[in-house]
Amino acid sequence: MTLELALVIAALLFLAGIALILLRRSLIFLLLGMELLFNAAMVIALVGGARWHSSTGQVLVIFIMALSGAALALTLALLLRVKQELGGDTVDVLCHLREEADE
Amino acid sequence: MSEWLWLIPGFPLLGALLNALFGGRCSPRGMGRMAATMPFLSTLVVLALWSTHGRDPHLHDRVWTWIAVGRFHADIAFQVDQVTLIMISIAAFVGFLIHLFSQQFMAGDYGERRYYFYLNLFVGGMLVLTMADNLLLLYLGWEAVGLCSYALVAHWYRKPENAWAGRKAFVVTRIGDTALALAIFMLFAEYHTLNDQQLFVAVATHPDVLVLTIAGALTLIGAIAKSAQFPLHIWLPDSMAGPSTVSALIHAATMVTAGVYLCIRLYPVFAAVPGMLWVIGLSGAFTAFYAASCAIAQVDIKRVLAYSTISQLGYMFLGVGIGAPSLGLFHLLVHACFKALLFMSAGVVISVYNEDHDIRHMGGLKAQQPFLRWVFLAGIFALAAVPVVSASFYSKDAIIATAFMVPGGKLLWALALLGAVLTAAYAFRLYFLIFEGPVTPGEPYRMGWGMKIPLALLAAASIGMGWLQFPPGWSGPDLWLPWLAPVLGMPPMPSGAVNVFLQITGSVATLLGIGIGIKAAQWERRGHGFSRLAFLSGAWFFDAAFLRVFPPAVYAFARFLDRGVERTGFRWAFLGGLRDGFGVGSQLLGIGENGLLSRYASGMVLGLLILLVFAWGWM
Amino acid sequence: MNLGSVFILLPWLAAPWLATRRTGGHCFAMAVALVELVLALVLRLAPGMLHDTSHALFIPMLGALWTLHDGLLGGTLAVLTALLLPISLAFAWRLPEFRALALAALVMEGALFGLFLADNVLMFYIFYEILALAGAFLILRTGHKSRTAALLFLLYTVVGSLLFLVALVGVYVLHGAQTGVYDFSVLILADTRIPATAGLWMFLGMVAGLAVKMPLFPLHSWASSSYGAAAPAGSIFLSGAAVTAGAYGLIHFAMPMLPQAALQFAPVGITLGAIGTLYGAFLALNADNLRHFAAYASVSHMNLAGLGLFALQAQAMRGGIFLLIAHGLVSAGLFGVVAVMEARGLTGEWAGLGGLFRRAPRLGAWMLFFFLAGMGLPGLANFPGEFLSLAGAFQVLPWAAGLATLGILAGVIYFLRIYERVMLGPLNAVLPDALADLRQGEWLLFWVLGLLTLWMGLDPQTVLAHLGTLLSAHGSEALGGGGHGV
Repeated sequence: MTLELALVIAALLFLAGIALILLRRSLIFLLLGMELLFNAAMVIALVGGARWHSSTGQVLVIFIMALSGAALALTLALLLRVKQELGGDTVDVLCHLREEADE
Repeated sequence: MSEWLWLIPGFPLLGALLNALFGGRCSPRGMGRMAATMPFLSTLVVLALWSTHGRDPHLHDRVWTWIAVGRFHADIAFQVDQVTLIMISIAAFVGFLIHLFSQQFMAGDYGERRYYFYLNLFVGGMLVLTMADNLLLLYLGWEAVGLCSYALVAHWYRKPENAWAGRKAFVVTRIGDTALALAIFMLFAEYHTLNDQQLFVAVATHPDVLVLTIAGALTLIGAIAKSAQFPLHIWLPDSMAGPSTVSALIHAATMVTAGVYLCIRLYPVFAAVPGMLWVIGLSGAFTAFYAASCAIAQVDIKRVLAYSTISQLGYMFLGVGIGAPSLGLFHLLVHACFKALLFMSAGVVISVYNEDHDIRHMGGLKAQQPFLRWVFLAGIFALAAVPVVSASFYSKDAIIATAFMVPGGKLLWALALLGAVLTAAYAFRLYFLIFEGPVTPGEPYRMGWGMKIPLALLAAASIGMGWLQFPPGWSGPDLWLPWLAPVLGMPPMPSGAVNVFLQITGSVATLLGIGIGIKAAQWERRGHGFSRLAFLSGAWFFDAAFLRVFPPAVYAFARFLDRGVERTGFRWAFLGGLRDGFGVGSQLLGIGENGLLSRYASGMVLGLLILLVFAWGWM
Repeated sequence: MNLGSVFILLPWLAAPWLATRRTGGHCFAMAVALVELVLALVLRLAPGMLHDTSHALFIPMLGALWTLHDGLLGGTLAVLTALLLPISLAFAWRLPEFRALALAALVMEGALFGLFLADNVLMFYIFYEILALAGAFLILRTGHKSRTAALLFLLYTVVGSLLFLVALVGVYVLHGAQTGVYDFSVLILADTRIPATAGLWMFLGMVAGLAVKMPLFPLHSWASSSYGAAAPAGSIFLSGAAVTAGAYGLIHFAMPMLPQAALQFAPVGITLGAIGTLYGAFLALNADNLRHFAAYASVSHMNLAGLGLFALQAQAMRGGIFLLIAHGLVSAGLFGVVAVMEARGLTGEWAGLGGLFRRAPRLGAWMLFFFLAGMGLPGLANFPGEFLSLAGAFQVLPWAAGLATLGILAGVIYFLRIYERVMLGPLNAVLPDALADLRQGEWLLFWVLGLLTLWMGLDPQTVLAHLGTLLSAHGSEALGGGGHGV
């Protein structure tokens, strides 16, 4: 596997993530898109580590995995609350959370 | 001995402090006794000074360093020389007599404790003023007496006009204080010292005429405001709103003489500027004439005396201006005695007539109050300068005569002589309206010994004080001028035929004035006296014009700054503009802030793309 | 952890504890304030306690943030601050918003101590911002609880201090570019060689940030609304202690860092000070109530102090600092009188006052005393400061100092007019019948303040002689030995 191929894969993953975030309204898909973005970043970190023969890339990937896992758990919990409280799982319901700033 | 000097102002100041600390626990009567003891103790110290160093006093007492930054150095330090010795004798002794007189006079008043507090503070401040060895300490005393004048004029504060009169007195004198402060700054900036003696040495060695002219003029403004000279005299007639004892002490004997004292003390500074002394003399001579012409038309007993004080102070300034400060000081001493006497007697007269000040409602009091009549007459003799038998004859007439001798002095002499005629006229008009003529019965009023002794002592002084210094060419005591000569020099006294001419004109002027005065009293009784001349009774309308112009201008300017500049400029335009700017900005920025997550996401992606493009360009 | 750090952090530790309490806390806050007063006196009288200067929070490129030093000037101002806090708390004792006031004042006190002891300019800036926030909180939560006033205060001070920060970063970057040493310590920054024009702009930025707190004309507009909105007891601390931060920043940081620019700015500073002195005086004459009156009187005095500081002249600078300290006491007295009157239900509007002396002679006497001190009567605290400032500035710029001298006259006009309105004349019919004179505690407070005022007026040398060298070594070298001479 060449460096370029891996970078292309990462770019595709990133684009897919962006597309999901921009195009889908469902919060679940939004989360999926964000995970894809993480994965793209992880691929680049791994490739970079391999390219310069350094373990930093792998360490970074494990770190991101742990973090994103933890963040995902929290976000899913929040999502459940949103569904219960606001009665929907699309992005637009979230604008009800916005404080009406002007008095 | 010299390390005891601080006791002289220390006693009255201690009295004021004790009054403030423990006054609430004691009866007002007890406070009054304590307050009177303090100037008495000061008087004892002054007497001790006379007995030990009276011949040639040269004392200095440094107590502590007050302010010292670089060359700006002022100590709390006192000095005594001949001039100071006279001034502290007046302040302490007359102060004590007035404290004594007040014991009965002010008994039962609603602010008795307050009265004694300020009276003590005043005597202390006056002593500090006269004994100060540097300009800054002098300024302290200067302001302290100004404060006491304010508080005591406004003593009966429940009447708004009294409070207003006190404020007017403080504000007008503070015009002079500001000028004096500026003069101190100028002198310090030029000569880098605040000490009197060092200043005189520096002025003598490096006379910078421009600086000295401006500083001298500013000092003179300070002096004429304090001493109620034209055109800053307008506060003194109104300050008669205070108790008569206050008028006697502050507005006759001591505080108003502070301006004269300042001119005597800073004589070397004035003398270093050509023409400056003549201006002082002209100011004095004109004021002497002007105030006498106003006094003759007043119907309020205290206002007559107030204008008379202004006029007499004018003679003192004239004395300084013609190069005879020792004669000015002589008249200051004599005037302190007879004017304090007249004011205190006037206080009794007013009490007899149940707080009525109008002399047209009085008359024939000599039968009811014989003692008062004789002491009052002694004071009137001294005021009118009756030849030979009154002290003023030896002091005031000497000033007038000497004015004739100096270059450019003929005008001053003429004004002063005219003033002398008017002085005798209003003095005897006052006496005849109150004590002679048809009887207007008043309330019974019994004076105790505490009131009689001060009056008797001052009456004796009003008659006999002049015998210290006989005119030139007379055989008799010649004590005053030689004694003061080491500090103030000898004035240019007339001699020979001119002397005889001047003395005769002086005496004739007085006698003429007495005649006019008796007539004026009769005219006044019949209802067509001088008081009907509005120009004279309104003091040439000067005060009215001043009040018409200055206070409204100040208030209007304050309103303009508040409404025009602060509210319109700063709040409305500047702050309003700032607030609206922030408001519009926040609305513009808030357009994107709609809570739609998808929009935010698009924004983020857009930002990312822009960053990428930038990164591309960088590489 | 040395004594200095305890000194700074103790009020900040006490404040959250106070915030958790629902009731009470009076004695606790007062105890903390008194402990701080003792500590301040110890630090001032025995500065050796701080001698092992602590360096902590070292951050590369910024320098040691937590650097304390023992300056005599900072120590003196710290004593003033520590003295005003218990007085302010005592006047607020019966207010329902006591805890909010104590909380804000404690935070402000910690911030003030921090910036008086700071050597690192960034540390000074951070404390300065905390001070502004706590001040806004004080205005928001006490007295009229006015949001507008608090916002205005915040707007002025934050915008001002941002300008300060920009100028500071400018000096910092210049210094780094010249020497390669990037550090915010004032001792290091004072070495920077700065081109004249850039220096002037930077100095202007710093002045804008610091003068706004004093408040100097034309940046004074927040003062009347802030002092008018906050509880008078809070205004004691706000006007007496918080304003010293700006002046201290000028003397200790702005002037040593940019001495040439300071010297160039002197005539402008003196002129602005003179205008501000008279401007404040005239507005005080036209004030619509007692709070605004006290506020403008305070503005007038602070401008006179500013005039002294900007003159960069031995007498004037010492006079300015002395006036700063004296103004703290006198301002406490003035706002104390207002606080006492408000505690008796008097709003301070002129229509509801008049002839009060008859009912409350003790209050009237103390009011007159502080008014007299305010109008610069010799023998009371303000006089040495005013006279030195003017005498010193007169040697630098005579006409402007002469103009400011008219403030002596203006002082007597506005103070006496207001005194007459409140205390003298016939008794106002709307005054309540049962109007108590000073209570024992209030009376004692006034005595403490009054004796201090008298002492400062009669023996100012004790303070004046121990202010230390005002401009640090670098600054005075660049100024050729003390600016405009001695």
